Amino acid sequence: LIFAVMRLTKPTLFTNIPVTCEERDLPGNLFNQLMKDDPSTVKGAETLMLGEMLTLPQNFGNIFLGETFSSYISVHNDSNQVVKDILVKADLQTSSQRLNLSASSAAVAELKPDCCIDDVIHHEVKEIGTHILVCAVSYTMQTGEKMYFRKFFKFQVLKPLDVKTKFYNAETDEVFLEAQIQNITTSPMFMEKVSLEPSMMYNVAELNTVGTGGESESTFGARTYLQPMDTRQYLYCLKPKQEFAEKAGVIKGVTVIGKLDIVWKTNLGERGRLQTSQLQRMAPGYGDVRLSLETIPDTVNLEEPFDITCKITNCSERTMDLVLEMCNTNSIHWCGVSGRQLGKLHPSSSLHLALTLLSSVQGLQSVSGLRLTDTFLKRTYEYDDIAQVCVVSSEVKQ
Amino acid sequence: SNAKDAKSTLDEDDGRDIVQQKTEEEILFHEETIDLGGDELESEGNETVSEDSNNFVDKLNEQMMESVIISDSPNNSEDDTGELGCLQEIVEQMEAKDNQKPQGEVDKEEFLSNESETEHEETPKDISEIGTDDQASLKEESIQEAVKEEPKLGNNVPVETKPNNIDESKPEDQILSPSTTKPSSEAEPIPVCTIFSQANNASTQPQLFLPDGFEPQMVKSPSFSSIIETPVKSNPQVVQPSPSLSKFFGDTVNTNTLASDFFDSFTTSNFISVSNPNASSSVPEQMSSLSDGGDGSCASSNPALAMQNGRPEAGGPPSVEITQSPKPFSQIQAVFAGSDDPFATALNMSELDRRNDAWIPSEETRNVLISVATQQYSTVFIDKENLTMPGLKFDNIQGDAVKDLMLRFLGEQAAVKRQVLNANSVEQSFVGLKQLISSKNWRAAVDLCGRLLTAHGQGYKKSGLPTSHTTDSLQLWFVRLALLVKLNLFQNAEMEFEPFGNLDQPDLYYEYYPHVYPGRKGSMVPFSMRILHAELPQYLGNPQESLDRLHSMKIICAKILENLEQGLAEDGSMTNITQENRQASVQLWRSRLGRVMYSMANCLLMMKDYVLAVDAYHTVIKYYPQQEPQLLSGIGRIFLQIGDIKTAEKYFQDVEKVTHKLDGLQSQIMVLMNRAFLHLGQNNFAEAHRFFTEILRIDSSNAVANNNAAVCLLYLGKLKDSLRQLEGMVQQDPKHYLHESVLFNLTTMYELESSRSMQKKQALLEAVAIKEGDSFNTQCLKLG
Repeated sequence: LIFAVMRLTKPTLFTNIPVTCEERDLPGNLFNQLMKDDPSTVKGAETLMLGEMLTLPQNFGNIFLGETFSSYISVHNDSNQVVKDILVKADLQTSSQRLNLSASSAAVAELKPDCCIDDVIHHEVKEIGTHILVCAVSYTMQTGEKMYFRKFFKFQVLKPLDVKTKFYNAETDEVFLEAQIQNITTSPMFMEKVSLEPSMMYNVAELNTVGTGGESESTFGARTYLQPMDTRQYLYCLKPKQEFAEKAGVIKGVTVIGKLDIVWKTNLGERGRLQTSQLQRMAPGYGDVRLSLETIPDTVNLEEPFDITCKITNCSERTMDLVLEMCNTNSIHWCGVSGRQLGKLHPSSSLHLALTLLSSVQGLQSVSGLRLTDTFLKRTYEYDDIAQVCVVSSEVKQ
Repeated sequence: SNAKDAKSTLDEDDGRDIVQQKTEEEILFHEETIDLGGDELESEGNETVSEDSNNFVDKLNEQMMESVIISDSPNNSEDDTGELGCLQEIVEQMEAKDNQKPQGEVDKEEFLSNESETEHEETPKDISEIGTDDQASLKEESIQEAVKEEPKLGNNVPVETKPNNIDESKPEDQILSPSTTKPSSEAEPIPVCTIFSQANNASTQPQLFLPDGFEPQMVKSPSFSSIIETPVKSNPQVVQPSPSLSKFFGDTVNTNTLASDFFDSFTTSNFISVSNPNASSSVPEQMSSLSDGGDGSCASSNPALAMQNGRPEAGGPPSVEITQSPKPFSQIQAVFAGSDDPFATALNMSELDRRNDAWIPSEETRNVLISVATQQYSTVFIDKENLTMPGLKFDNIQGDAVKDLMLRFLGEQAAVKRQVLNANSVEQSFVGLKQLISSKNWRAAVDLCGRLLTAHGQGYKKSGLPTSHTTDSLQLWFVRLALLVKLNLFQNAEMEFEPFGNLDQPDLYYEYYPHVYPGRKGSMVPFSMRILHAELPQYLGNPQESLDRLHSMKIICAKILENLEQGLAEDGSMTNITQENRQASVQLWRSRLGRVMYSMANCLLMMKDYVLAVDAYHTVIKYYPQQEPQLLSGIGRIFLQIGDIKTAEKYFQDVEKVTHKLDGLQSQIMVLMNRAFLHLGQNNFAEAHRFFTEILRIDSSNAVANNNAAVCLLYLGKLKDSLRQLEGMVQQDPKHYLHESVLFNLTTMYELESSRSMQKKQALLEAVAIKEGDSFNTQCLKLG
């Protein structure tokens, strides 16, 4: 018996080299006629390089994580006698496990001379590194002699994509995720789907389309594919779900954001799919008490009081009794009484606070100088650079 | 806090790597099934780690960005069969482990001080460097291994003839399998599939540059290496009838051995033949004898005027003095006067010629041409670098790869039977040349072009020597170079193209030879030759240069069209052109502009700049509206190639809309073909096969559908059926189907099928030997 294996990557389209001439040139229409007679050209448009003729893969090529490894396995009886009880087994040995890929495990009763057993195996590659296709054939000769042989085919699985992520924390509880996806293969890659599957705590909004008059257009424009070594940036906005946003203390420390699901296609629809591991984000530490701004004007008049609303959240595990102090800086002047009691604040609960202040200096001014003291522990929390406002003279504003 | 954030995640990442390695190792030890090169696998493990540390360095460089480990592919893929289910669970568990462990370690890692981080920074870099090197060498190794293993495989193959062999190998396996931990990887190399390994040789180069059995011959002529330095000693100072000519006229004028007689002229200006100073010495004897009995009609009826407007070297090498001695000119004028044909000049400058030859020279060239026209009798100095002095760069590429293979595989007897036309077996003229081209003996045709050019004085070693050009000589060059390109001998073509520069030198214009081509204007260079010249660099890996050349062609074409629209002649001069002729001219130049756009689109496609390529093809549709369905289908196929199935489908639908109006076989086939391709893109080979078969029902001789249906059958696991289809097709009409793509597929399947592939391939060779000319690309038979 003869045993052969061929990897079935997608076939490629034959390209020809068009050489044309004009009627008045020496060869007359000879060149054009030659191209017309060539079966690989497109009839009626012979100058078109990309033909329609399919050619089988010429070499093993590269295989990438997430792609499907397909292979033709052919066992051919080259002898002149009938062999019996043929059992073909194809296993894939990876660095961590051994998988059986044969479609059928039943033995073929007999194989006549010049006949063959064919099998096409598929396997979605899930590991990087060396893979070895182990094919074993056992059969019985007419003489009753039992035969067995096997062959090994080794190949490397490479990484197709490089994914880098970056988190941006917004003032609000929103988190922006920027994912850079780089094509590190050698062929163009059509990105069919790049989506973020959020963890249970978040809702996600994809920011990779621009809406223009009801129609959304991809931010990548007409270029639907990634050239080798090209990188694309995808942006996602994550909002904590209502029930988790309420309990601000819950989202703290390292949280699981979700994972990216990437589906791509290459030559003639060869498909690949990968998911990243769970993306984790270090939530910004808010300490025990978090002070966030709910409302603030962007532009205010010089020396005119304006209002801001703060939200104070107890992120600790204990109840606090808070006192608010307001310290003036050289530009910001707080109105009202400093050292006022805010009362008891239970864990994970929050209160809203309206404050009035004015600025004595023009320009972009930083709101600073809030101090909260927990009277139980005698611990003071300082809040500077909470926000910026643009201060303009009142004449300008009008 | 962002930076801190990033830092902690970095560290965490690092920690995870370690954990992963650990788990990997654990698995390695537990695994029983590894019976080959455990060492190797372990080293692979190291490799992946180092690769990750590579990322780590990346991260450090980019500070903020975090590399994400792509842990595995998703579990809920549609393609998965039930059997794989359990495997996925395992993977899942592993993943879970990975995720949990590092979390514990994060806290610890966070305490890493800044110093230790910088330390980190340096060490992994080294590792990563080694790592990547390792990887590269490993790859190479495996290729080499593959090649080495071939003979070994051969030993393995005849299993049944040597049953002992198996018994021997069996225990070997058994011995190996228990020693999971450290079997030496070198001791038992892994056989690699022959199919893969064979192709490996070719894999490094794109298909276009595959040698077709012939090494591009870099025959270096002495004049090539030192074009400028070569003093043209032999040239006479005075241009009186050159020695060569006098020899012709004196001795053999009656037997018509004038070199120019070999040219069957085909343009309107056919009564003038020009001979070059170098011509006589290099006329092969054989040729002169051949032409002795040959056609002297043209020469005998016309008082063949051998006009040498050579530019003998007067001063130093940098400039060539053109001493256009008055004597020959008076002769010429006498000839015209005496020809009793007052319309000769008018005929010369016929509408057709002007339309065809029009070209807009560069400013510099234009100035030279004007000075030639106005200062006929004084000397015009032209820098030698501005002259075109081509010559054959290699003598003879004649050869027949098919015959060579036959000698090797089928023996001398079979090889003797192989009869193809060669340059000697046809008439030494354009007729013979055409015969060679149409019988696909392009190598012989290249050779014959060379001979005819040699007769014209532009033969081997003549590059860099002053010469003059005629319509015919340039056409011959065009044919020769075009054939070289058709034969994929791009380097050779480039070498011989080189003396032509950018095809804009003054001596390539008719105006440069006012007495040979009185009144005629425009470029001698055929438009197709410009296209060829522009396209060539892309086949040599320099598509940018191709684009540049095509762009300048596009500009000139557009300018000519603009001139025509403004009521001027093509070259911008004030000439009266009838409406009819103007229309015809606009049509011609529009189609030429379209041809340039076509080349641009093809070039962009080759550069894989698909967005621009698609745009360019859209432009081509404007110039060739009749090709719209084909071009739209082509664009659809481009998108299929990228993997963008949806857009491809959109284009295919457009094709159906366009062809809906037309009916007829061709458009019907096109629609079916596109549908088949779409199914192919959706991984549905069964449906694709159905559509290809559908086409065969309409047009049973459709080579593409036949071939593609066979390819689909292979993917469906029906090797025998697929072979039957291809073989049937080749036997049915060998003249048509012995195409390299078909044969390539066929031989690939033979290799897959049985050990007797060699015999079957040789049978194909025999079939090829009967039908194909010397231009056949034997690479596809994979006999090498």
